[in-house]
Amino acid sequence: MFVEMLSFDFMQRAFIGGIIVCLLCSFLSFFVVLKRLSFIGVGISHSALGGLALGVMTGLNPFLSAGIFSTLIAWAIGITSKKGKVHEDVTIGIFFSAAMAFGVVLISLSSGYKADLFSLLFGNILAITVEDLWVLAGCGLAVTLFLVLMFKELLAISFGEEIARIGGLPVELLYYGLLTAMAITVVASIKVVGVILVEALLVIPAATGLQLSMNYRWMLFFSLLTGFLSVIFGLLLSYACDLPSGATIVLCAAVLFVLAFLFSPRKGLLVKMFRKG
Amino acid sequence: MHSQNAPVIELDKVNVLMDEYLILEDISFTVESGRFVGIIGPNGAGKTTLLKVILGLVTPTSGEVRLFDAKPEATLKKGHYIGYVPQRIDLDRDLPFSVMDVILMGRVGAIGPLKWFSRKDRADAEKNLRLVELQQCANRPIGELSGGELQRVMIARALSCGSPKMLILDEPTVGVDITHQYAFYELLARLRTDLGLTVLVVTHEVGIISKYADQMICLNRTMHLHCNLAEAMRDHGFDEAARCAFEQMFGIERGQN
Repeated sequence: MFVEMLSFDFMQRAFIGGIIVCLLCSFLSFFVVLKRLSFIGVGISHSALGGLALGVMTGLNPFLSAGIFSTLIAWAIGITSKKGKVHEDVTIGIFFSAAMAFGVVLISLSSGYKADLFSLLFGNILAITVEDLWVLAGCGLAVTLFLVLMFKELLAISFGEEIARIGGLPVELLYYGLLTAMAITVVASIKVVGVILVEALLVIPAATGLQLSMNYRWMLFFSLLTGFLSVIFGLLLSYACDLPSGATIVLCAAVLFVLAFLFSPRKGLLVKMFRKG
Repeated sequence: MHSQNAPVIELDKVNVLMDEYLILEDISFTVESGRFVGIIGPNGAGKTTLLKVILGLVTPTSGEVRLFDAKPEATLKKGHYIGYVPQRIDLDRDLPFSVMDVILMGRVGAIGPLKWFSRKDRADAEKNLRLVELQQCANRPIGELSGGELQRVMIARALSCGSPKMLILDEPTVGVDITHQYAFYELLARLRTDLGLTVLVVTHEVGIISKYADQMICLNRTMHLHCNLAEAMRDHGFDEAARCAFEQMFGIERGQN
């Protein structure tokens, strides 16, 4: 079946695109989980819809406009929650729902794009073009470079922002860099999983990794492995059972998390119960 | 004991206004190199704000601050002289880091960008772990440590900041029992002597800090009293010095009710 699948050009592109997106999201999820940015992730990904709609309305490339829009929203969330007197979860709640509502209103105004709304929300991996793959690769390279080159600095601010600042690190710059990396990753992932489901890939891989190891190196390894296995199994299942691919990938990741949660040697719920019993 | 008595912290008429509240008013004092300084005062007295002013995290509304004869921000950026130990409450113990990881992270700023930890960084981290007598714990996850052990790891982390000249500790012994508190202050006193450090401790525990500190700063909201405890005892007698301390204790109890 695998050979048959890969005989289709669009399936080959789906696999390549899916693997890039899942590995990229898994790598980023490592910091999203360590630094507790998962709700900001929700904010950034949902607001991408507003940016897409804006692009369609103004005739710009919708993905470019979504990238810029999401980055600005990400910064706005960061600034209001750091400088303002409003709690971060409240500002995120306001920003992402408002940006999404903005997107829905714009889309309803434009006549031609409505049919595609579903694929923006939940992805359409089979529609990936060669050009999309190049954009994906470019975004992936930029984000990966940032994460690799700033790895120890990002680790240090995950441990504590204040002590990192006193240690002489440019904490704000790193924080906004991380938010920007999230915005770029979200937009790059829209075709694969859509704006609603991308959040799952920004959280589940590293959450699974954290269940399996208390050493960050192994956590990162298991995080990437979770992402990789999710996209492979997800695409195979969606092909075999004719299921929507983005949602199937996310479900596979969720199943891996539940397995790790139950059976992790160190922290697994069932393992703990057995030890007690 | 310490040859150079150069001032390392200088505050001159510092005022801090936040949301139109005066948090610190007219604070002036100097700390010389090698001192063991206790900052005491009730909750809400501005102790943490004072630390932040010294560390350049809060810019005073008026007045001047010098840290190692430069603006605090400049000292932080290039110096790596300051080891900081935060309140225990600020630490997330669920993070997947070992003791060694945490200590190495204290060095990130000094190493600079685009470089990974070198063998020398690791050797230095191990040395600092030996100084706090936790060399056997290098590979343990921080989540498994006791409160006291974690606190000592944070000191080793602070010592790894590059070339440490000053240790600043924010309420380091909250929730630690009295025996371990003494052991902790003994450790600080030993590090201060062995490494020639200036030590600055913000604390509620007036009784114990007064045994170790040779300079006390008593803060109470907008007022402050800056005294050398030994001098205060000599000039005013033990009762008067103790009264100052007990007043602070009363303040604490009022603040908590």
